[in-house]
Amino acid sequence: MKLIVAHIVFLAFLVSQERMSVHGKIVSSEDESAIAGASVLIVSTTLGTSSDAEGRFSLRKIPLERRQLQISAVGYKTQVVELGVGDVQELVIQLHPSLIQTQGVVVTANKRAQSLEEIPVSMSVLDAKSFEVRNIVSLDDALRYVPGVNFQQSQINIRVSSGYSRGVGSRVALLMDGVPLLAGDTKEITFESIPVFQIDRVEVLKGAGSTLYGSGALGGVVNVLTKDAEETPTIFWRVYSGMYSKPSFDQWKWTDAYRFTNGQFLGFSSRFENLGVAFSLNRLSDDGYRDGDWLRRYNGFLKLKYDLSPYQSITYSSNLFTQYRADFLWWKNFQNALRPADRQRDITVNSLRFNNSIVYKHFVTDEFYYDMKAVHFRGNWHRDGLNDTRLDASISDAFVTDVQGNWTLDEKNILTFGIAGNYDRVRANIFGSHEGRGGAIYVQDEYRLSDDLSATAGIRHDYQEVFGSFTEQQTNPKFGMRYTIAEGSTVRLSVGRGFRSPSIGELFTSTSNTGSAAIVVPSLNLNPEHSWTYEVSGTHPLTEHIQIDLALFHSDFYDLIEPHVFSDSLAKINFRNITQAQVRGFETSIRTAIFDHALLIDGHYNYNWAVERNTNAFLRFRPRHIASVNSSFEYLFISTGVDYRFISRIEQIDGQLIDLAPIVNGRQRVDIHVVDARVIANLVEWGIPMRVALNVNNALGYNYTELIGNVAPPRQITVSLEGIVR
Amino acid sequence: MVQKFSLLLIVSLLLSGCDEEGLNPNEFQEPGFSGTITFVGSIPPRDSIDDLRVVAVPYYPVDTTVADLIDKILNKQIIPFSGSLSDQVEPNTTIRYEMFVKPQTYYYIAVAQLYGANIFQDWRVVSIYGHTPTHNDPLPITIIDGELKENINFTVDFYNLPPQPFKVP
Repeated sequence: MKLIVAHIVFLAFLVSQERMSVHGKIVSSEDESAIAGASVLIVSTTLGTSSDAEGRFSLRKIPLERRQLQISAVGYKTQVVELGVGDVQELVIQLHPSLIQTQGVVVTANKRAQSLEEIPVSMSVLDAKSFEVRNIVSLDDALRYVPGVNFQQSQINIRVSSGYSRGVGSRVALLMDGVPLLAGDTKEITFESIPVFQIDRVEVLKGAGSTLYGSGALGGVVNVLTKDAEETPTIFWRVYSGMYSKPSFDQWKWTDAYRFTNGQFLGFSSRFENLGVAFSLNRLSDDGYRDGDWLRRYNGFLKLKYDLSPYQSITYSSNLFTQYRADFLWWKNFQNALRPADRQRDITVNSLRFNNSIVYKHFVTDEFYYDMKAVHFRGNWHRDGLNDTRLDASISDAFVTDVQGNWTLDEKNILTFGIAGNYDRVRANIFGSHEGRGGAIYVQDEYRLSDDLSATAGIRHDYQEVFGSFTEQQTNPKFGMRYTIAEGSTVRLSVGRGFRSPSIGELFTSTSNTGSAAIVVPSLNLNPEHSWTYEVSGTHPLTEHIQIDLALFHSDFYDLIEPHVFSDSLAKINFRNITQAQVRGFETSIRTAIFDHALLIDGHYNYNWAVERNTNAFLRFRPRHIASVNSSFEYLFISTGVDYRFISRIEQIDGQLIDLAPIVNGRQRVDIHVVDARVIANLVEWGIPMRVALNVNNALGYNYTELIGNVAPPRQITVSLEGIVR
Repeated sequence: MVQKFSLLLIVSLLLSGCDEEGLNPNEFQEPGFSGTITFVGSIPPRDSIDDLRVVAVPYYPVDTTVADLIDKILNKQIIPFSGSLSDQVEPNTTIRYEMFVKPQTYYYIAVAQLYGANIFQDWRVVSIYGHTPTHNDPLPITIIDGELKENINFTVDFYNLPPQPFKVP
């Protein structure tokens, strides 16, 4: 009781403290142009905001004793500004361009905000601008531009960690604002459910990350960070419409009509005293470029952040996603590649995904803060046949809690520690009714040996249980070092362990009507997969205009769960711990900024040598080479860009599954070459608060399969209009 | 220099993308194999060659009864077979055949004759790929996607049959 009273008195004391306000504009030191989307934080408080399209920001009710303002933006060097004396302060802050992403602030690597150059592992960051200029409507489309990342349709591979298994399990953990977002039944990622128009940035951590994030972070972590509320009432809108080009070959023609896609987005964001509100609605309708491949999608997002004091905040987020689509699994055959296999016709999938999270954050002292997170994620989907005949259905709930503390022990040590828990409940005709639960405790110390040299060591112990199947304990350590040779020149070293518990889907799937000749039967004796990742990486500026990154990586994977056909004649499939694998490779990036940063060119190359340890055969569904070149050019009010992606032909696929499904001519595949181009006119300078964009995706009209039996989208031309009203 | 290098890099990569054609159903070769069947010696009466087909068995040894084999051909569709060739059987002639199969290894490829009225029972093997007077074992072939393997040739002598894989009732 005394503690509560003391706490209330302390809060009252804080509230009664004198405050100041800061308003300002963030500009580039090169040409004084406004920097939009820069993060502005009052150090050691929960107070923060982002700069608007004109680079302006505003922060109020800042305690007088907090005088450090940290400003960061991707592509610019992070800056800390000491505030002067006075109730209201007006600032113009110049940020210096940085060639590379070493200066932005990230939170995923060590579960706390820190500069990219301080972290001991490889990480890529996608900012909001990269979503806007490419007219991204689904998160996976954006992640295709991340070095070392490739997709098997909707399944993500970070440095070829994942391979492919349809609908069950992900070897990459997905977080939204730091909280896990994996379906309770299949533990798969539904990228399309992420509200892309609300994304502030996406951080992609490469390599095992289970020391901080637990099960699923076997090959990497994708953390989606959503935008905070604007300081003043702001309405965002966007409308877009696109058209697919007609099929390249007469054999593939299935309709004489053009196929269209269109979408609308409307968002509102504002602060009302201590309450920040951001909400949005968006809709997408896609006719599809293939016969029987249409979809309708709706998404609603709400984020409320209430500042209890400058040192405490509580944030509630809610995301509702519904989608109704045809279920195109694979083609009829290669001569009819844009038509579905006959038995898939008339099958539709209805899905609803709904997640709520609440986060309480408290800066107790300059040295210590903690946060408490609770998440509920509901998945509800069903597949229906002709006349709404129910084929498969699942309702799942995933609950996750996490209490985390960050304690700066002294000038050299920062301790991060916490406990986490999870509970899953599934009711499904293909999985049955099952429950699972788990708990974890973790601790990590970042030790700064000198200004240039730091080390990170951490460990996490997880307990996972699925009732009626397995009980498992996993201990995952990690170690990392970072040495800064000179400004912009850093060497990193890391070792980490990851694991993934089998999903309820993998354990209990039982089908007889999957649209396939093969049936899936339960696999009750599965063990968790685990991995060790080793990496040496570095960043070095070759000249004032060129930066090079290089990472050498090695991963050992154990007990990878793969589908297994155990009777040809009866064609049964279950999941087994089959594969012991080894992945080695390197990833290199070269970034150039020329003509005073008007022209930016990034080139990336990723070589993967991925083999099964026992047979030395190349792993299935993994490419050996991934390369990309991204370029952008800005002149006056016009900005343009061209992106090129190359993925070498998948060398090994699962022939047995292709034959059993059967996916007729399913072995057809080629190298992937995709060019996306864009031109954007910013009309704001003409007094019209609007941008007009023309995007041409797959501009070469190149035909390829990302996933067996599925021709990727042809050339697609999209026109979009977007604006901001204040 | 650096700027020129960067521009050259991106243009080269883009051009390399343009050179590729990607998937093209017009250039698609259905996987399978082809060859000839040469008939030597006398030809049995026409009414005892009700059917003649090439079959490709993806395992070895082959089933011990005709019923098992027929079950895998007709019901489970594990063993592919060619179209009927019986109309082309003439003494001392060579005919061409072609059959399309899923890519995998076939361990026993043979020409089979339906010699009676019972389609589920009255089959016998009249030639085995790889079986010669000096080589008894069948030769396997591996079919890969997009390839039509050629020169899978047979010689048929109806009165000098190779070893039968199953018990002939």
